[in-house]
Amino acid sequence: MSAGMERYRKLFLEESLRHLEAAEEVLGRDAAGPQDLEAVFREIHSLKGMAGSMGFAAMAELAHRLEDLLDAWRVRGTVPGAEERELALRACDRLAEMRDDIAAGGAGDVAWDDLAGHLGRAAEPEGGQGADGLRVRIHLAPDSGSPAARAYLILLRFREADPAVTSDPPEAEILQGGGVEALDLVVHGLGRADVEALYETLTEVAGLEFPDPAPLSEPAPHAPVPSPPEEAAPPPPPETSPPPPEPPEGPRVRLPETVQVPVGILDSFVDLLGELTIARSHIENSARRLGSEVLLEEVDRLGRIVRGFHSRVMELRMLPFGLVVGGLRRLVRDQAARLGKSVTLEVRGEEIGLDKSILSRISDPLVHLVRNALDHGIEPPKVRERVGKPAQALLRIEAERVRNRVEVRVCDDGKGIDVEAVRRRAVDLGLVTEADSRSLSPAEIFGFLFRPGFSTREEVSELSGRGVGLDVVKAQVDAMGGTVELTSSPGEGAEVRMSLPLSVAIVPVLLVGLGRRVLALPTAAIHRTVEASPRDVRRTPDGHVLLTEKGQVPIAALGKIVGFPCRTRFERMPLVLTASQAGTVALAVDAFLGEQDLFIKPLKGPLRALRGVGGYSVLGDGRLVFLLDPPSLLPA
Amino acid sequence: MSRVLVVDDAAFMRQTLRDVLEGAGHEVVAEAEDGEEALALYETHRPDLVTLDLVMPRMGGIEVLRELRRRHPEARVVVCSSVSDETSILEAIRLGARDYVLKPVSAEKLREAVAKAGRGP
Repeated sequence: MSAGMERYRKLFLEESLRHLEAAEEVLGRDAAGPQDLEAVFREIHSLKGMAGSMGFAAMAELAHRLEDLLDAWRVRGTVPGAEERELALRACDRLAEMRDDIAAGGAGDVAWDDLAGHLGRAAEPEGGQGADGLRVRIHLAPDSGSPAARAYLILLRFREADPAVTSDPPEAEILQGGGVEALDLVVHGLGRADVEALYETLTEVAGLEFPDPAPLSEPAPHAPVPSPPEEAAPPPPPETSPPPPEPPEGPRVRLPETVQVPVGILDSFVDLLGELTIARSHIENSARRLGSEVLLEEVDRLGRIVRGFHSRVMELRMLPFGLVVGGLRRLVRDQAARLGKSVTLEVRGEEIGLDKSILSRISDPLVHLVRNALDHGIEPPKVRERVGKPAQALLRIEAERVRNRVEVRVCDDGKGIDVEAVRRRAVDLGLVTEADSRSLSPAEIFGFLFRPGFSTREEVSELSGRGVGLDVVKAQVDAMGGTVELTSSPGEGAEVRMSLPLSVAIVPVLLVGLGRRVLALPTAAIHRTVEASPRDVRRTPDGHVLLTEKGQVPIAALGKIVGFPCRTRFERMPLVLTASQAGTVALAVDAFLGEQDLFIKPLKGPLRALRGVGGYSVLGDGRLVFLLDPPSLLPA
Repeated sequence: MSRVLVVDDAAFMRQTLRDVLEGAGHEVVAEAEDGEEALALYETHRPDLVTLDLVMPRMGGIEVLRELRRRHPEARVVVCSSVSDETSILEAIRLGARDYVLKPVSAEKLREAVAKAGRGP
C-alpha cells in the first residue's frame, strides 16, 4: 500500500470511530428526539460514503442498510422503540467490528447476514394494508436532464398521493444531486391502477414496473463512489478489493463494482468536455444559419447528452469535504496543546461533495484560518474563565451546500474582533475618510481586514483580534472564484465564511455588450443589475452616481476601464452592481446579453499578467470572450 | 388547451416558447421579462399555467414561485432552466413546480410537460 493510501486508511480509521461513537451515544439514550436521530443519520451517511470511497464494501453495505432503517424512522416521524434502537446499536457494533478488522489489516469483511433480515423488516414502512405496501419501480428516460431533479419530482408527486411513500435512493441521497437511473418506491393505499394513472402524468420517464417483493436483504446496487485524490494514485492490488461472496453454485466471475482511475484522466475529461461544449455551440450556430430544423433538433439532443455527461464527470470528481478535515484535527490538537489552550473542534458537513480542484485548494486557507483562530482568537483557559466563558473553547468548521455553491465556515467563540478598532485603523491607513467610515456597515468595515498589509501581527494583537494575513486567504479564495467575509462580535468570537463554486471550470456568467464586443462577468460577483433611468443618476464632482435605497453608488464606465469603445446612454443605462476593493460600484455597459454557463480556460503566458481578467472562453458563434474579475479589475 | 403566461428575461426565449406553445394549440396570454412583472401579469390574466425561467434580474424565479404559490396555491408552474441550476431546480420542485424543462428547450419535451402539467389533480 502506498504512503498516500496508508494515510487515507489512517484518516478513515480515525474518522469512522468518531462517527460510530457519536451514533452510539445517541442511540443509547432513551430520550433521543427526531433531531438527534437526524444527527445519527448523518453520522452513518458519512460513514457509508467514507467506507465506499475506501472500497470497504461490506461496511458500506451495512451502513447503507442501517441508513435505510434510520431513514424509515425519519419518514415515520415517530421515535423508535427500545427494540428497534437495540437493532440499530447492534448494527453499529458490527460496523465497529468491521472497522477493527480494517485496523488489523483486513478489508472489514465481517459477516452480518444475521442482521440483514431484521434491518430489512424494520426499515419497512408501517402501512395500513399489511407490512408490505406496493413496490413500484420507475425508470427515468436515458436522456433525462438533471435526473436527480426528475427523481425528486416523481417522489414528491407520489408523496402527494401517499405521505408515507419510501424511496430508494432515499430523498436525502436524491437531494445530493447526481445520477439516478431508476427510482424504487413502496407505496401504501394505492393500487396498480392508481400508480399507473399517476405515472401517466409524469414526463421524462421510460418505464413502470411492479417488482415482486424481493427480500430486502439482497444487496442494493452500489452507487458509483468517488476515487481518492491525487496522493492515492496507484490502484490497490487486487487482493485488497473485497473478496466476492460465495457464488451460489458453479464458478462465476465477479468483477469489482468500483475501479480507481488516475486523477489525470478526470482532468482530461474536463478539458475534453469543454471542447465538446464549444464544438456543440459551433454546430448550433451553423444549424441556425442554415435554418435547418432537423439539425437543430439533433444539436439539441447532443446538448442534453453533453450536459448529462458533464454532470456525471463532475460527480466523479466530487470528493467529500471530510477529506481535508483530518489534517485539521491534528493541527488543532497539536497547536492547542502547544499554546496551552483547550479547544473542542466540531466539524459539520463532512459528506458534502466538492470538486477535487476546489478541495485541493481549500486546504491552505482553512489551515490559515484555523491557525488564526487558535493563535489570536481563542483565549487561554484562565482568561476565558475570568470573563465567564467555559474554559474549553469551541472551534467549528462546517461545509454546507447553498444553492449552486458550497459555503465553508470557520467559527470560534474566542475574543472576536472590535469593529471600532478596525474602523479606526482603516482611517489611520487612509483607506477611508473619517466621515465616510461612519456610514459603513460592520461587514464593510471587516472587509478592510482582507486588504493587503492591513494587519500585521503586532498591530493585530493590539486590536485584540486576529486577521493576520487574511489578504492571503482572500487571494486564494478569489482565485477559486469564491468570496470570503468575516463577522464578529467582541467577546463572542468570529466567523469567516467562504462561499465557493462547486467546480472551477464551468462558470455561470452574465454576458455584457460594449460596442460590438462581449465580456463576461461571473454572476457570483454581481450584486444585481439595473437599467437606470436619468432620475436614478446624479452628477457629482467625483463623477456620476446611482441613487439607491442604500445610498449613492459610484458609476464607472466598464468600457473606459478595459479600453473598449462604448456608448454611454443616459436614457436607460444598463448597470451591473458589483463589489470592488472600494465598496460597491455600478459598472455601466451598453447592453445585457443574457446569462450563460461558460467553460473557462485559464490565460497562458504573458496574457496572465492582464489585470482583472480571470480567463477566456469561446462563444457559440466563435467569438472570444474574456471573463472579468471585478474585484481585481477596479483599483482600490 | 391551456392559457399560458411565459416568464423569461430573454426575448429570444420568450419567442421560442411562444412559437412552440402556440404551435401546440395553447394560448400565450402574456409574456413577462422579470419576476415582478410575472406576479403582476399573473394577477391580471390568471393563466392556467406559467412557464418560469429561474435566473432573471431583479426578482429571480425561485422568489416568484414562492410568492406565487403563497398567493395562489393552485398555480401550476413549469420551470424552464439550465442544468447547471440543479440545486435551484430541486428547490423549485420542493416549492411545488409541476415540472421542469431544461434549456435549450426541446419542443417535444416542452409540449409534453405543458400538456401533462395542465391535467391531473
